[in-house]
Amino acid sequence: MLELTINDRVVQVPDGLNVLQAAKHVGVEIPHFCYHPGLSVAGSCRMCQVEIEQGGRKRIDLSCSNAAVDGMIVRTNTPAVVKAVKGVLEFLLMNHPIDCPICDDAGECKLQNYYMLHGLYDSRLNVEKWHKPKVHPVGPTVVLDCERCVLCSRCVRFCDEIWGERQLGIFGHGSNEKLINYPGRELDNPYSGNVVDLCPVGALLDKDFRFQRRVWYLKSVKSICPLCSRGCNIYLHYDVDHDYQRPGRRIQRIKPRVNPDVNRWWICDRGRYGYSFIDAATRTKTPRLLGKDADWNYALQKAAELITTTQKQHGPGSISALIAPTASNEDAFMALRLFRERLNIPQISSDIPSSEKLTADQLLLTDDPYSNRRGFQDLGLGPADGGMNAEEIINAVKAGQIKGLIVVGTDLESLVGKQVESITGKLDWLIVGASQENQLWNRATVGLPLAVYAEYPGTFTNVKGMVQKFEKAVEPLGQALPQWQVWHKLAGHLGADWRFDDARAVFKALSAGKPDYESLNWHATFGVDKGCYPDNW
Amino acid sequence: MPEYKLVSKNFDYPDQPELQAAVSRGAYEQWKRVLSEQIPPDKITEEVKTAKLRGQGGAGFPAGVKWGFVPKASRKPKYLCVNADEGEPGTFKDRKLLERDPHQMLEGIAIACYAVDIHTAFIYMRGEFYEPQRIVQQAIDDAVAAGLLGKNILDSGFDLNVIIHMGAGAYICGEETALLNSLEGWKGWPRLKPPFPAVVGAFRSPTVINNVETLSGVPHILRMGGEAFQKIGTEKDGGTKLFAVSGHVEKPGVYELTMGSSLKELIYDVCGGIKGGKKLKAVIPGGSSAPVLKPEEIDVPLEFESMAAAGTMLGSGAVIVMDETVSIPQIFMIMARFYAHESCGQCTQCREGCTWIYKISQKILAGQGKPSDIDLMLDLADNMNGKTVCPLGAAMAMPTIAFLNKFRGEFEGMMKN
Repeated sequence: MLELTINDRVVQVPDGLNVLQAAKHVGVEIPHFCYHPGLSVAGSCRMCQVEIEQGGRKRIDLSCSNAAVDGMIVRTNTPAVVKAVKGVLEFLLMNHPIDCPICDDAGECKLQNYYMLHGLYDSRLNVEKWHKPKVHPVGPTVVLDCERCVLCSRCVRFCDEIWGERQLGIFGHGSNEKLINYPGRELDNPYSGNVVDLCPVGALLDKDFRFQRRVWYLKSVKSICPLCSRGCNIYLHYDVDHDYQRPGRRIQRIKPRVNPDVNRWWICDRGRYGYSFIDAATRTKTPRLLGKDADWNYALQKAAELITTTQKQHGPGSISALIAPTASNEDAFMALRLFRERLNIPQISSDIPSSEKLTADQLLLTDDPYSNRRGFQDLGLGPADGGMNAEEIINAVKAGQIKGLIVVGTDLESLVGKQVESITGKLDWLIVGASQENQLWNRATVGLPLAVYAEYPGTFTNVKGMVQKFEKAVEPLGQALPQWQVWHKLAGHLGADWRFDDARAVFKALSAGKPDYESLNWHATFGVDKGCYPDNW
Repeated sequence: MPEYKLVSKNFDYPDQPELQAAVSRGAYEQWKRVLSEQIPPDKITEEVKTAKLRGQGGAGFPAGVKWGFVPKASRKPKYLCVNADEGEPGTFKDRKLLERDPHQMLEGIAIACYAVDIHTAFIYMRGEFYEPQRIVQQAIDDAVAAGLLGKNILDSGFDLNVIIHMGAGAYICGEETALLNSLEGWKGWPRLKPPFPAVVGAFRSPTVINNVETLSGVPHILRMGGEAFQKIGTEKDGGTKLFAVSGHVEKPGVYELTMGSSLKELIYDVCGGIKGGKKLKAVIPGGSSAPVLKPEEIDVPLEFESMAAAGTMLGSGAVIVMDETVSIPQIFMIMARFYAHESCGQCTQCREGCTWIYKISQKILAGQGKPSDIDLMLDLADNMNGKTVCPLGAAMAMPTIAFLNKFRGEFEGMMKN
């Protein structure tokens, strides 16, 4: 620990911080544009100037490029510092178009916020502003407004240092300098959306969010990206109160949430822009019975009867279940409890090949599109020792050994292709749990509409074995229910008297005896945040 | 006050760029002596420190001290960069050294490299210097052929590779860390310091960066001894300085004077006074970044400390003399245009401030200025001054403050008209 004085307050901070971080650590926000903890220090915006006193000598210097040193005296509020900071703001706003009313970054813009905190002067501008390109698509997902750019070079450094490809650069010199693509290059790296988060102003914007919502309408919950096994920490930004602006879209955007052990400040574009399935028109909304809508009680009653009858006639081995490891630990736990412990179904498998092939990259993306394979393994939801894998179960179905099949979270395309009849024809019944209509949905004897990750709380275990909780952002669509609740209700119809009030109760039961799981503090996480995402550096 | 010809003593021999002629006048004598007597490198550095040789590019940092900053036990190679980017408006002294006596500089380079254990030297030359490039390249080739540079110099086992790298025309690349970025192939943006180039320089290796004139003085220090060299100049500034005098004097040109000579005598005695007997109006004493002096202020000794005390700087020794016919607001606008164009665009204040001041200066010239514009420019200059990565922001701010304060009446006069 170091001891230094910040604004006449003696404080202790950990070693290895710069002055800006040290001040932030004790709650003193120093304004800055170019500094970001995930990137190299550029020291070019000159906004973070403070007075540093060392060995009796005072100087005005950058807080980002000076390491915090024992005994250092830092002041952020002397008249000279205030004037210097105000001066930088004035220079930055000199050529800025100040088009906040039509800028999507308004509300989470550093320039705007700092003007309110450190500016508040009458404009002295007496010359014309530069004009630069306003709508320049730098890549497939991001659009650039050169006039709004403050030339902090964060996006340039992101491409260079984090992704490792030179795609954006600052060209020209003097005040007509501009940020633009390297000649012949596009901002097409698979992490391109991060430059939008890094951009301290509204210069770089997501094409899919541009002109869609004012950010102050957004609510935010902490979540976990379900699109690969990395388990990147994210915020879901949603708005259900202004449905007239963008009917049918509740999740407005996804932003990364800082976790130094998983994704640091970043997420990939696949995760960032891959939220459309949540509000897709193909979502399943109503339970189905023999191709017709039904209510939950009737559908589950029917399912219970099918299971009981088949087990009586053909024995427990005549039923099998295939559950894709995209579901939460709570879902897996409840499925296991019902199918293996209660119904003694011997063949349950989760090792369904994915129809989507991923290639891992050097940053975050793994080659496994299933978010919770590790959790399913930890809980034992997979082929039992000596049991069949998914392919063998399908072969057993085709051989007529299995009469009833429960399929959840997969359309089996990777196993049977489009030839669904090759298995449905051999089965007495097929129970399908799905959140999206797929090739099995309309052929199911009983169809169970499931909620998606944004619609209920739960936990995923990522590829490194870290148990991470995700929160509920919006209500399940239609009558869809979280998978664990469906099994909970079905167990009731099969005569069990289980009482799990909520996901937390399920998590408590499943984590018993597993130190990695027990260590997760369910309540340490959050409620709903209003407005901007708090990890904005 | 006479001229004192030390580094410029062979300027008038047309054959001086040729190796044989230069050798006949003593070139490479000290280099040969260093190798044959195996003078300890530390002793050379000490000698240069004793000589009080200051960086002649403008900053005036003691050269020997700079050499001493290079870590001795570096596992990386070390480099010497010769700053031949001479871009400061008004400066044309290094050009003369490169064109008229390249072997003197090469000898200085060799001795400096020996003192700091460097085996690769880059001469970063201003992009427009086609002729100096040709002459210096020829000199290098000749010296290598004669075994004075290159591999195993004079059978001493010491290697030195001297490489010319041409700039691409940006003023900022004369700033030492922008020079390094440019040399490495990046955009010429100055780097944050620390680390200083002596520790992390070219290609992330320890690097000494010296001006052409500084290195040209090194052989003379070895020849006459550090103390004698220092005695030529003043207590803190040893030796001589080249002054590039331009503007309204009878005899403009490059003159070598001892450190501490008077600016007034330089203009009136050495350069023959104001052209056509007109009245002196203003003198910029050290390149366009140096604050302007009024006629009554020019009786100052030409050395780094005295000039700083007079509120200006010795800088690169580019003396720009302006007589009564000159319009200061116009000079100011031209200067502001230069800095607005040459600001590298990295730091906010310099990038935006130079342009803003330039645009206001244009307005004033067009008769559209307001009295409040002068105070605005002064405040903008204050917000730029000393608050940027490199001194370019200050190089714009300091003369702005000087011009506006010293000639305020003339600016205000343009507003009334």
